[in-house]
Amino acid sequence: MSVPFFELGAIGDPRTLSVALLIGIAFGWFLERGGLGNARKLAGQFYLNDLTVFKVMFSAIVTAALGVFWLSRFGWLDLSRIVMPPTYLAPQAAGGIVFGIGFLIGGLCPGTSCVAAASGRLDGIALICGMLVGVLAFGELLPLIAGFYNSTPRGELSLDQVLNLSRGVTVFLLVAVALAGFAAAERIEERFGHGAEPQS
Amino acid sequence: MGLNRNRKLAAVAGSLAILAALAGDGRSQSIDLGRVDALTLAEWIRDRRPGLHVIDLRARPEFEQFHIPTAGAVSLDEIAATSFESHETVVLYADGGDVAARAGVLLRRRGLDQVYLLTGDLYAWLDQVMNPRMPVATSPGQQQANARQRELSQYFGGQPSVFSGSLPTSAEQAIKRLRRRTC
Repeated sequence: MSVPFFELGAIGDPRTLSVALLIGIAFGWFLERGGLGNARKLAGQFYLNDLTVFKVMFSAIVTAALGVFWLSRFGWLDLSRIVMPPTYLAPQAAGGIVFGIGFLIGGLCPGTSCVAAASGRLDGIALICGMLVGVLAFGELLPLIAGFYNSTPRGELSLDQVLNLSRGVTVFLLVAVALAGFAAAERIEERFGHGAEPQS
Repeated sequence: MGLNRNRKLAAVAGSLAILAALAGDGRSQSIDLGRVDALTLAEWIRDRRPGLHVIDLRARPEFEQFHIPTAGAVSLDEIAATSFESHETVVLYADGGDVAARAGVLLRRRGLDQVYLLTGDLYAWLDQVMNPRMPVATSPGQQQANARQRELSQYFGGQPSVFSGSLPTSAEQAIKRLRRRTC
């Protein structure tokens, strides 16, 4: 059996939604177990005394990159059937800045705010409300910013295309950077105090 | 204990990454379906290319109404159970959408190398073989192309015609032409 199952007609909408629900629950569970539902732990990223977020996210990237590469190499995954969001340089950079400011202020990102809210944390609930207000405002303002929103399109870009390297070499470089980053993160945490509470 | 586990995981990831770099481009396992245009397919059928299978993926009533000569009707659900020899050539067509591409992927997964999609699906066959409208030949190259297309069209009982003036290159132009003809 080859994947992606839905794209290849192996499963229909109801089963796909059920699988999506299970994956979503698993995703939230892993985030919560990793402590990423706690804003203080996430804020530690910016104080350099707790780089758990960096390590969790980069571990996921490495796992996905290696998994996708090898599943494709063995012929079990059709890469051409995976939807890749198109790149729009300027608006996505602006969105990243807005995201970063929100993360810095709130100590949570959209995903972890849901985890925090599910854990009963009020800051998570507040962030979700703020996120929904932001989504509503974006929807209402979209006609005004449509020009910028659609500017600087670059199509469906992947890292190997940007670097002009083979996919295997790109995966190797990604993993090498990640492993070096993990080692550096350990040293930074030792220096700046792992798990120390940031001064409020 | 935690550090040892992390180091083991890092070693596994590093090993897989090194093997990935040596494996090169995983694209070779990505499905890259070949494409064949209607006129080339017509030549294959006319010349009785060995091992050629033309598969019509549309519903049976549509197949009965019209299909490309020598084509067999096979649904997307049935294609996985249909057996082909590895050296055979399979050309797939449907009525638009991605049905033919899905069938092609399934056949490639089974190890069939020569799998082609008919560019433009059945419409391309109707447009280029059965009712081709060829521009007036203004160069030896165009004359040769017209002769080839006319011969193929007549072989399959089509009605080739020569169109004076430029052929529409966009839907908008084609619609304007339609309106002009009906006024």
